[in-house]
Amino acid sequence: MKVSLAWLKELVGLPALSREELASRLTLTGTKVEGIKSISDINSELLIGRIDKIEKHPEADRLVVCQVDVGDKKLQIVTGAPNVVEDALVIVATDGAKLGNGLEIVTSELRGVKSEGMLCSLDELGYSHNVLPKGASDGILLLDQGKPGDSFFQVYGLKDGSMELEITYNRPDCLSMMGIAQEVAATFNLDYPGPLSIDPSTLPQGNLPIERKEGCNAYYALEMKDVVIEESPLAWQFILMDMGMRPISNVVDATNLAMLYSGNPIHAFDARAVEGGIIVDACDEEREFATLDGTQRKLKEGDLLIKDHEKIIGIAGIMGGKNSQIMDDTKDLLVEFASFHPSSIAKTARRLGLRSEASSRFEKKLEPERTKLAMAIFLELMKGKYSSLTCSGDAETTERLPVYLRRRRAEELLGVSLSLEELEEIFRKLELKTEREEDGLYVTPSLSRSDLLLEADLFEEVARIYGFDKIPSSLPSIPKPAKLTDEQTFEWKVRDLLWGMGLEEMLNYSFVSPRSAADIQMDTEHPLVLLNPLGEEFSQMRHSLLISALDVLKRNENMKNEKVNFFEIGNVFEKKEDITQSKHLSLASFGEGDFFSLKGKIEELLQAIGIKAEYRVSENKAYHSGRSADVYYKGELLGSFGELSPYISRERDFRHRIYLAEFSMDKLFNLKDETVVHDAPSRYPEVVRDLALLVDKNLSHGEIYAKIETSGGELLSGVELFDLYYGDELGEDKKSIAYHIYFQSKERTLTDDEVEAAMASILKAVEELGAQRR
Amino acid sequence: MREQLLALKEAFYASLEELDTQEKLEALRIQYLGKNGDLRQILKQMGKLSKEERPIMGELANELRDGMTEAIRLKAEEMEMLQIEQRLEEERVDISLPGEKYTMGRVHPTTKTIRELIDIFVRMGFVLEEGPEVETVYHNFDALNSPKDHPSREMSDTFYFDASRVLRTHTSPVQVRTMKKMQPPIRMISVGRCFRNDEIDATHSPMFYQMEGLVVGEKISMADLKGTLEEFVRQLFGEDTLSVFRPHNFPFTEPSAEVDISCFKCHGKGCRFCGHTGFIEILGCGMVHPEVLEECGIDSETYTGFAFGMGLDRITMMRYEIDDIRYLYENDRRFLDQFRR
Repeated sequence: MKVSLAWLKELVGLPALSREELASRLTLTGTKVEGIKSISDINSELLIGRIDKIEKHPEADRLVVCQVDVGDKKLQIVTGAPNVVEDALVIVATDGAKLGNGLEIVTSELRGVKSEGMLCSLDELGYSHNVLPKGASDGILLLDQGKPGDSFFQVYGLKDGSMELEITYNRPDCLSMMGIAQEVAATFNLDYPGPLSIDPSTLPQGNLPIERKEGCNAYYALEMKDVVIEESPLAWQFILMDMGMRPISNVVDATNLAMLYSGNPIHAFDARAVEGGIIVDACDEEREFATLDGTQRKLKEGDLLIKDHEKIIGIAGIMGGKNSQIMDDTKDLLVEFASFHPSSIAKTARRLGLRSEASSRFEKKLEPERTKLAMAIFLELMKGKYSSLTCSGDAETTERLPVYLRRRRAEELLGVSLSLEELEEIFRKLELKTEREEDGLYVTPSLSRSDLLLEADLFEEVARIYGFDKIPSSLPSIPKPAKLTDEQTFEWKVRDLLWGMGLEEMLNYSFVSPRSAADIQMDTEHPLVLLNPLGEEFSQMRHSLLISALDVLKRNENMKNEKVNFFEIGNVFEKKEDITQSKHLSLASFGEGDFFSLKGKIEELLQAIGIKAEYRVSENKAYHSGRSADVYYKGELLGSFGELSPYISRERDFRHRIYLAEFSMDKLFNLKDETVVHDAPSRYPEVVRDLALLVDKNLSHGEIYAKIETSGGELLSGVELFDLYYGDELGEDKKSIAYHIYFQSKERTLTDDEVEAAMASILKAVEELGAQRR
Repeated sequence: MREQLLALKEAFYASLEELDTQEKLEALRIQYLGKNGDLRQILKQMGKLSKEERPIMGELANELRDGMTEAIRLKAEEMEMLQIEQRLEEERVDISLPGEKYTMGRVHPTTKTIRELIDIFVRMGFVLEEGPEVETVYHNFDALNSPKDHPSREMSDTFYFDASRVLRTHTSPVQVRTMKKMQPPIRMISVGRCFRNDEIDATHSPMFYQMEGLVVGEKISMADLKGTLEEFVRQLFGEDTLSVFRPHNFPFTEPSAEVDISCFKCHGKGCRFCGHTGFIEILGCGMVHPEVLEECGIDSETYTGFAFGMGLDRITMMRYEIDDIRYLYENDRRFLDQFRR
C-alpha cells in the first residue's frame, strides 16, 4: 500500500526524522516500509510563477511570449501551451532545471525570441502514466494555490512524498490511512484523535427501499441532489497520484479518497439509472453484464450483485455497471456505502480476473461500521458541491470481546519481564482499552482490529510495540546431543563416494512430461498426475530419475559440453493403491569411457557399502540390450545400468553414447553392510601363476571366474583378469582370456608342488567349460 | 721390481685422470687390480726376490693396491656426483605447464548450503526429520492454522492431486508430523523440496528448497528464538553478522517475525547486492501458535515453542551471487563445475 506522507501528517503529524529513520522505526513495529519516494526527488526546485502579460510571438503563430513573475524577478518565457491566460499561477522551470521526465531547461532563443525557462505541464514532472489524469499533457498545469516565488513542491506538500508499505494478511485495517495513522501514532507515541465518523441516523432520512440479503452486512445509500461535477482541487489530485491512483473528477476522487481513508470502498451511481430501490442479492443463474470499463462479464450463480427493482447495476464490491455510471450530464448521485462477506467477493473477483483496489479490500474482512467512516470523509470532501441529501439503509454492528492477558505468561513467552503499568502503556499507544484483573489485563480490541482474538495475539502486540530488539537473547539448553539417523548418514556417504569418483550432482524438477516419458519408453502404469500443473511438461510426478537425467544430458550436449558425468539422489512417485514416494539414485554420463567405466564406478560404490552384487543381463527397455545389467543382491533387484538404448538415442537425437544407471536408495540402505573386520596380512610370500585360456567367444568371464574361485582350494588368494583377446588366428568363435592366479598361506611359504596341484585342479575345472590352456 | 711397481703406479694414475665413464673405470680396475691384472702379474715375480726384499716389496704392493682401490672409489663417487648434476640440468621441466588432469566431483551449490545448515543445527542439538513431498491438505494447511480462505490454498498457488492431497508448499508439515509422533522436548529441523504454482522466471521456480526448524519445551521463550537464530546466522554468515527481528505475520506463529541480516558482502554499509540497504531478508520465524500446538496434541499451557523457516535457494543464490534461480535446476555442467567441495 502506498501512503501519502502529506496526508498522514495532516491526520496524525510526524516526528521530524529522516526518511531512513522513519522507515526503520515503522518497520520495527511491524509496518514494513519498502521505500519512501517523492516526485520532488527527480525534479529540480520548481517555482510558482504568475503570468503577467501574454503577447503573440512575432515569427510563430502557435507560440506566445509570456512575462512571468517568479517573485524576485520577471522572466520572459516562450510557450506553445494553448491554455495560458494572464494572471494564471504556473509551474516555472528556470535556466538549468532538470525535470522528472528527463528534460533539461536552458535559456535559449525560440524563433528569434529569448526564452528564460519553461512553463510545466503535469506529465513533465515524471509521474507514472497510470496515475496521470486525462489531459495532463494537453497544456500547462494551472495552479490553485501559492504565490510567485514560492516553491511549488513545498506549497503542495510534495516534498514528503509517499511510503510503499507491505501490509501483512492479518492487518487489513492497515489498508487504510486511518489504520496507518494509528500505527504511526503507536510507533512514535503521538496523539491520534481517531478516525472521523458519522452516525447516519443524524442525516436527513430518505425512503429508498433497500434489501440486504445474505452476504451483505451494511448498505447505506446517500442520495445527493444537484451535484457539481468538476475537477478536484490539485491537492487531492496529488495525494491520489502519490497513492497510485488516477484523478478523474471530484466525485470519483472523493469516493477513492474516502476508500483510502477508511479502507471501505464506496461506489457512486447516477441516480437516474436506479429504479425503485436497491437489492443486494446473489446471482440466480448465469447472466451477461457490462461493467463500467465496457467489458461484457459472465456472471455465475452465487456472485453477489447490486440490483435495482428492474436490473443489475453492479457486481458487489468489484465493479459498477455501465448502465448506471456517472455521465457528463449526471446531476443526482446515489452513493453506496456497503460491506460484503469477503469470501464471496474474493471468489468472484478471481474468476472474473478483476482485482481492483476495491475488490482487494473487500476480500478482507471489513467491519460494517467502516461504512460510517467512509461516509464521514466523503461528505467532508463533497461539502458545498450538492444542494441536498438523504440517507437510507442500515448496518450490522460488530462486537469486540475483551481478551485476557496474563502478565506472567507474557513474561515466560517473551523472555522479558514487564509490569502491568508497562503493558497498559503499550495498549494505550495502540488505542486499546484495558482493565486490570489480578495479575493481568482485559484488553478490548478497537473496532478495526479484527485480528485480536487470543492472548497470543496480544503477546504479539506487546512484543512489537515494546520492540523485538529489546527482547534479550538466550540459548535454550540442549536436551540431548543430536546426530543424523543411519539412513541420513548413508545418503551423505553415497554423495561423498560419488563426488570422490568425479561425479557432479544435478538437481532436477520433480515433475516430468508424461509424453516425453512415453517417447523414451519410460512411462509407468501408475502415474501420479497433478490436477493443476504448470503445463504438460510439468504434469506428472517423476517415477524414474532417468527421464529428467536424459533432458539434462541433451541440454548439455546442445550446450556443446563434451563430457558430463552426473548423479542425482531424489524422490520418485507412483500412484498405486496409495501414493508411494521412494528415494532413488541415478548416474548419467556421456563423452568419457564406456559400459565398463560405468560398471567400475558402480562396483566401487557397492563395494564401499558392503554389497557383493550379482550382475545379470537386463531386459530393461531403456537400455542397449547387449550392454546393460540388472544388479541383484540377496535375491533383490537393486537397480539397473548400461548404455542408453540406440532407439531412444535416435529418438532424442543424441550425438554421444549415453550411460545411465538407476538404483533404489532404500534398497541399498536396507542391504548395505558397512562392518569391517580386520584380516591380518600374511607374512609369507605370495605366489603368482598365469593361466591363459582359449575359450568359446560366448563363454562369460563370470562363469570362468566362478569356476576358478570354487576349484582353487584354500590356498587360492586372488584371481585377476589381465588379458582378453579376439583374433582371426584363434578361430572365429574363440577368444583368449588370461588370469593372474594368486596363492598364499598365512602359516608357511608354499612349495611348488602345492601350487602346481592347485593349478591342476583349476585347469581341470575350467576344461569342463570347454577351455583349453594356451 | 720396485721400478715395475712405480711404473705401474704412474701409468694407473695417468689413465685414471683421463677417464670419463663408469665403464672405462671398471675396465681400468680390471686391468690393474683384477685377477689377472697387471699388479698380480708383477707380484707373481715375488718368488724370485730375496728374503729381505720380499716383505718390503709386499708392503709396497699392498700400499699401492689400497691406494689404487681408494682412488677408483673416489673417482667413481666423483663421476656419480657429476652425473646427478647433469641429470638435474637435463630433467628441468617447465613448472608452469598444467598438472595432470584429475577430476573430483562437484557439489550442487544448494546441497552445499543444505549440508552446512544441517551441520550447524545438528551441533546445536537439532535432529533432522523428514516428511513426504506429497502432503495432505490437513498437514500442509489446516493443522498449521491456515485460514480456510487464505489465498495460498488456491489452485493458482498450490499444486493439487485431488481435494485432499497437494505437493507441500513448505516444509512446515514436517513440524506437524513430528509433534504428532512425539511429546516435548522437541528440537528438530527438516530440509527438502517444496512446490508452488509459480511460472518459471529469474526469481520464481515451481520447485525450491526450504529448511524448517522447531523447538518445543517448557518455558521456551522468544529470547530463546532470538538467541538460537542469531547464533545460526553468525555460524553461517560470520561472527560479525547482525540479525534484526522485524514483526511479520504467519498463520502458524504468534508473535511472528522476519529476520534481516547485515549484508555479508558490504557488512551493512550498503551495496548493489543488498539494494543499498545494508540488510538482507533471510528467514521467517515466530512462537508456535497455541492452536497449532493443541492441534498436534501438545498442551499449549505446559509447553511453548518457536519455529523458523527459510528458502535455501535464496540463501544459495545470495552466497554465490547467482542472479537467476533457473541456473540451479538447469544442470549445465559449466555452471556446476564452479562448485568445488
